[in-house]
Amino acid sequence: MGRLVNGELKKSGDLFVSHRYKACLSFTAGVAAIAALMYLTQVYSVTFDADSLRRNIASADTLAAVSANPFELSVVHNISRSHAHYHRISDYLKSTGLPVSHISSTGLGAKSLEKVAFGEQALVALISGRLKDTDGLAQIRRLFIGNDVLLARQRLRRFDAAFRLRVKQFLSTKPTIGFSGAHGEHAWTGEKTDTDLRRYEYVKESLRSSYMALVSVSKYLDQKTLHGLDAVISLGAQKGLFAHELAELERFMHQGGKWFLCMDSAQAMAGSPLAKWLAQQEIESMQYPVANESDYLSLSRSVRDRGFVMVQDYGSSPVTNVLRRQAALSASVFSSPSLFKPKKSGPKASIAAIPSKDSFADKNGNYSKDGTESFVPKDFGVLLSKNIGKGKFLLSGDCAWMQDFLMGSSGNRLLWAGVESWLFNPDIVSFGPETKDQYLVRSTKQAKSFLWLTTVLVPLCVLWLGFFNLVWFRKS
Amino acid sequence: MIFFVTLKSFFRSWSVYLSSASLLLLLGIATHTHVLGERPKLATVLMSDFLYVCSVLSMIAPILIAIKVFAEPRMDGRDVWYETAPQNKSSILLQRFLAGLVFYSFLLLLSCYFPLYLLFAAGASWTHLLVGYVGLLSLGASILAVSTFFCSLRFPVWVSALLSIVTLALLLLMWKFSQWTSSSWQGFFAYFSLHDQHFDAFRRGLFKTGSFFFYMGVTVFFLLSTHLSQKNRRELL
Repeated sequence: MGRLVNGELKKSGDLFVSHRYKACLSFTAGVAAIAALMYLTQVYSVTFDADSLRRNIASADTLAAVSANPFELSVVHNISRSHAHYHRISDYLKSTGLPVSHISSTGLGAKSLEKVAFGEQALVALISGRLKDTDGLAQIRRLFIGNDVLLARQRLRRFDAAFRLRVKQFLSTKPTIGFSGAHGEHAWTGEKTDTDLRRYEYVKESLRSSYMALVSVSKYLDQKTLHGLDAVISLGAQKGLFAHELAELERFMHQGGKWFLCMDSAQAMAGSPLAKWLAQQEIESMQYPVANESDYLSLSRSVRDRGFVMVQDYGSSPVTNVLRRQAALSASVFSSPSLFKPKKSGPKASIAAIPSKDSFADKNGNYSKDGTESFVPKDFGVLLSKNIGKGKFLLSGDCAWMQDFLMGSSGNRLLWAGVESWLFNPDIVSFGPETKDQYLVRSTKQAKSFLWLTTVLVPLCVLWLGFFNLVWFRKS
Repeated sequence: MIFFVTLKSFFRSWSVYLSSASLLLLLGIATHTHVLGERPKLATVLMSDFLYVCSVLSMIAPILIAIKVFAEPRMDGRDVWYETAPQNKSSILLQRFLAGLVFYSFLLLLSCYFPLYLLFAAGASWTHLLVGYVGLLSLGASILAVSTFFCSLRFPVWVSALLSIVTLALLLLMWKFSQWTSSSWQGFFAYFSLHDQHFDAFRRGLFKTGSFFFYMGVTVFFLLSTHLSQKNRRELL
C-alpha cells in the first residue's frame, strides 16, 4: 500500500521528507555550523602583530651585556596556569648565570602588566606563548620601552615545545641623579622651599627605580654640589636659577653631565637669567613660548575652555620617538590641526610639542573621549633635547607630568622612559619599537604630480584599457 | 569554464570600465582630501587612513559586481545559459562568485599605488599593507556575498541593489544598535558590526583571526542562503 503525495505514489514506510523540510533542515544546519565557527573563532581570536614584535625582539638583541648588579625578575606569561613554563624559565635563567635575586611570576593581563611596569621590579621578562589581545600587546610594548630590561621570549608551538630566551640588560651603570628645585622667593637663603621638597618627594616616588641613586641637592648649584652627579633634574627652576649656577651647569654638561630642566608653566620667566641663557644656547623657540607665553597660554586657554586638546601628532624628538610610534599604533588617527608649533630651533636641537592636559587622540572626531581612544601624556607642553659639549640638555615645558599620581597615567611613564633612555644611553632610544616609518614630506611639485597621477592618470589608464580591450575584442 | 566566461564578461563591458575609473577617481580625490591633508603624517597613520578610505569606497564595488554577475544576465536573458549549464548548481554559483571576487581583487590591485608609494618613500611596513589588503578582500567578499544573495532573487535590479544597500547599512550600523541595547546584548550586536568592529584591526595592521573568520562566516552564510534559495526555487518550479 502507499499514498499519493504531490502526484507520486510513495511506498508506505519510506521516510517522507518534503523538499521544503530538507531545505529548512540544511539551512538550519549550515547556519548553526557557521554560528559555531564564528563563536569559536571569536572566543579564541588571536591577534598577530608580528612585524612590531619582530622589530622589538631584534632591537633587544642589540642591547648591552648584563649588569653586575643583582636584579629582580618578573616573569610575565599569558598562560597563568602553566607553571611548567615558569619553572623552565627559572631553570634557564639560573643556567645563564644571570645575577637574578628573585623571580616572581605573573599572568599576562593588563592589570598585572601595569603592576610589573610601574612596580618595584627592576627587570621584566616576557614570556609569550600566544599574544591574545591588543591591550596585552600594547602593555608589552610599554614594558619593552619603560622597563630596564630585557626580553625573554619563548618559541612555542605547544606547551612542551622548546623555547628560547634572551635576557639583556641595558643599564650597566647606576647613575646618580641630583634633584634641584627652584629657589623661588627665598632664593637668597639658599634653602629649599616646601614646594620644592614636595616636588622632590613626588618625583622620587614616581621614579622608584632601583638602578638610579636619587639625591636631593639642597644648596645652590656649584662645583661642589654637582660633583659626583651624573645628572641633574631641576624641577620648576626658573628665575630662581642664578647666572653663576647656569654657568656651572653649562660647564657640568660640557664635561659629560646631563641636565633635565622641568619648567613650571605657571611662572613667568621673561627677563630671568635662564631666559638669557636659553637664548645664548640658540634655543629661541623655547624662550619664545615660555617667556612670552603667547602660544603656550593659548594652549592653556584651550584646555580651560574646551576641557581638552586634540593632538595632531607628536613632534619629532629622540625622547618622544617611542611615544609617537605608540600613538601611531594605538590611536592611528588624529583629526585636528596641532595647536602649537615651535617656530625655530637652534642647531642640533630637536623639539617636541605635546600640548596636552587631559588630552586624547580623538579618533572619530566627536570631541569627546570614547572608550577606545587613548590619552596622551598629561601636562607636557614642550620638550627639547640638545647635545651640549659631551653632555646633554633636556628641557620640558612643564613638570607636573612627573608627579606620582600622573606618572602612571596616559603616556607619562613612556615619556619618562624616553627621557631616561635619551639621557643615559643614546642606544637605548632604539630599544623601543623602531621608528622605521617616517613622515611623508613632499615638495609642491611632487604633490602636484601625485595629484595628477591619482585623479587623472590612473582613471584614464583604466578607460584606455577599456577602449583598447573593447576595440580589440570587436576586431577579433 | 563558467568562471572564465564570467570573468571575461567584466572586461567586455563599458559600464565596468567606467565605474572602475570612477571609483579610482573617487579614491584618488579621497586620498588627497582625507588621507594626505596639509600636514605631514607618519607612514603608519597614512596607511591606516588610506585603508579606511579604501574600505569605504570598496563597499560600493562588490554591490556593482554582484549586479553585473547575477542581476544583469537575468535581464538580458543570459541567465538561461547558466541555468542549463551541465554542471552542479552550487559549483556554478561558486564559480560566478569567485569570478566576481577575482575582479574585485583586480580593482584592489589598481588601488595599490599609494600604499606602495608609502612603502618605498616613507618606510611603511609591508605587513601593514598585506594585512590591510587581506582585510579589504575579506570585507569585499562578505559584501559581495550579501549582494549575491539579493541579486540572485527574482527581483528587479533596483530592488536587489536597494536590498543589498539596506542590509549593508544595517550591518554597518550594528555598533549604534549595540549602544542602544542593554549590556548583555551589547556585545552581540557589536559583533555583527561589519566595519567598525572588525575592520579596525586590519586597518591598524593587526591580523585578528576572529575578524577574519567573521567575514568568512558572513560570506559562507549568504552564499549558502543563495544556494538554498536557488535550489528551492528550482524545486518549486
